[in-house]
Amino acid sequence: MRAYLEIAKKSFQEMLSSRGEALIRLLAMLLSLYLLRSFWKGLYAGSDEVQGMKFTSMLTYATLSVITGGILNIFGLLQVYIAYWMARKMRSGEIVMDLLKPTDFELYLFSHSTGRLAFNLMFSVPVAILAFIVFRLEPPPGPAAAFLFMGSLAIGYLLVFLIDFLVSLIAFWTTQTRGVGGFTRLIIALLSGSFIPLWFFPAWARDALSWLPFSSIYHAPLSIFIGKLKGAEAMKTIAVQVAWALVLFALSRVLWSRARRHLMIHAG
Amino acid sequence: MFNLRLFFKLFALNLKAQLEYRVDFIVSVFQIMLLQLGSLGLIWIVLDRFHDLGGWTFGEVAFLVGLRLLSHGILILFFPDIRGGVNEYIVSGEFDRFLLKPVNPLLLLVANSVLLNGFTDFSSGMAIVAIASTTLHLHWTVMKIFFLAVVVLGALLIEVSVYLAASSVSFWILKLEALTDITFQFHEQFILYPLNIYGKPIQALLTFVIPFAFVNYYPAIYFLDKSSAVLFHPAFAYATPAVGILAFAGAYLIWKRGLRAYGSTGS
Repeated sequence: MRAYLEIAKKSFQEMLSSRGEALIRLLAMLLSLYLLRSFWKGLYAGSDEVQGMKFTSMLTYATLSVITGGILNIFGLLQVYIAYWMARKMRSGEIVMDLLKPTDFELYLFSHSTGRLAFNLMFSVPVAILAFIVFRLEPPPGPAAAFLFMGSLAIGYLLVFLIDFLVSLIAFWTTQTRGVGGFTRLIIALLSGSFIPLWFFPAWARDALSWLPFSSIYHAPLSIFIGKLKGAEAMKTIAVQVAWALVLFALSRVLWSRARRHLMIHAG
Repeated sequence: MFNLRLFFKLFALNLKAQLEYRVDFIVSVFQIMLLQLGSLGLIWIVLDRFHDLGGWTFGEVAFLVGLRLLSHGILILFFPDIRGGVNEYIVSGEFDRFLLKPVNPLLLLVANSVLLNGFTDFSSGMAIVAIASTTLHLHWTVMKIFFLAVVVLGALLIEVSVYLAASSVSFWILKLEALTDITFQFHEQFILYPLNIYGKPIQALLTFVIPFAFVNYYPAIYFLDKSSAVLFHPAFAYATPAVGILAFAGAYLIWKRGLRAYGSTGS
């Protein structure tokens, strides 16, 4: 456990040394906030509510989506980056050095990525607080919702990590993940509700998408925050998230042991 | 003329090198199509619920998106390095390589980089303009098609100029990802939506400073006959080619001055 905490601490410190980059990301985040605000203002055109979604709730959702994106932006590219990293290590053979360490490989990567997450949290949370004050956004409807939101967001992060890790394992067979990685990123961008909330999708599409793991990343936590998902429905959504996390975790263990064996055969 | 022949020869070589990775290319074709059409799908979903975005219906927003992709595709196809690549060359010192040859360094730089993805972007742009035209029942006369071609070339000049100017700054200040990153965000995201939804400062910025609004917004006013969307001056609807030429002249001057000021990093 100590070792993993140290790994997380180290990657956090690594991030601290690239503060200049963080500043650019901050600026990009503010521009995105401005863009989305203009976009939804242009759509609502002065009305308070459209399709059961209040304007202030929508602005809150959009702001949180930018912030969540900033928090999950672990490696500079949006989401799915371990895949690129792994492919590079596979091609150079550097992967052997990571495997020699007496740590669990998946946990090692998870600690590394969580260290970076902590750094992202550090500069995204002040932006969130500022945006809430300046734009007069809505706080969650109650302490229970706030608590559920944080839990749901945490599971969302877990799912992003697991999806990324699973995709990265493909590199053990192909040494190339550019295509699959790109597709995964694209699917997350289109189907997670990060830009357009699933509430505006046709009902059948919304139902189908809420059963997939991608909606856990944005749609689930943000909808809980603005109070669109509450009570039994919120609990059901979180249950779906937990189920996906368990399934993907089990899958990652199976695939990882196979990938490892494959690599050994490869090395002769 | 020697320059031009050399240019095409280098260009063909680079194209061949890329075609070596056939699977990569096919995968990226699907990816780009999915990205462009998927994003358009999201806009369709939201405009189906809201009717219009700052007075622009789905077909009209699609036209903005498609028009941008046309020049963007050509930019990616012929000038991929101009977006950040030049920057890297200068910082790494690799840029010296371009100065050692008896050819205009800018021409050499362009001939050296080809990205086939641009072809897919361009085709998606054509498809999206076609979707917009059917939705809006646009009537394409010969005159309009001719002007469309001129607008796309003008827009291309604008994009090349903005990135060239932004890259030239690294002749003086080496590290400037911030500048290219922000330019990128305006180019990739802000002009996907009608300019009139933004506040006056952003409208002025995208019209007079980094004139990306001339890539799609202003010409769309002419093509869609949308006088309600006029900003600043109605003549801007026809100004894209002129703005392109002016922008390029300005950017080329900055580039030339930068070249003169250039001292290699020596690494």
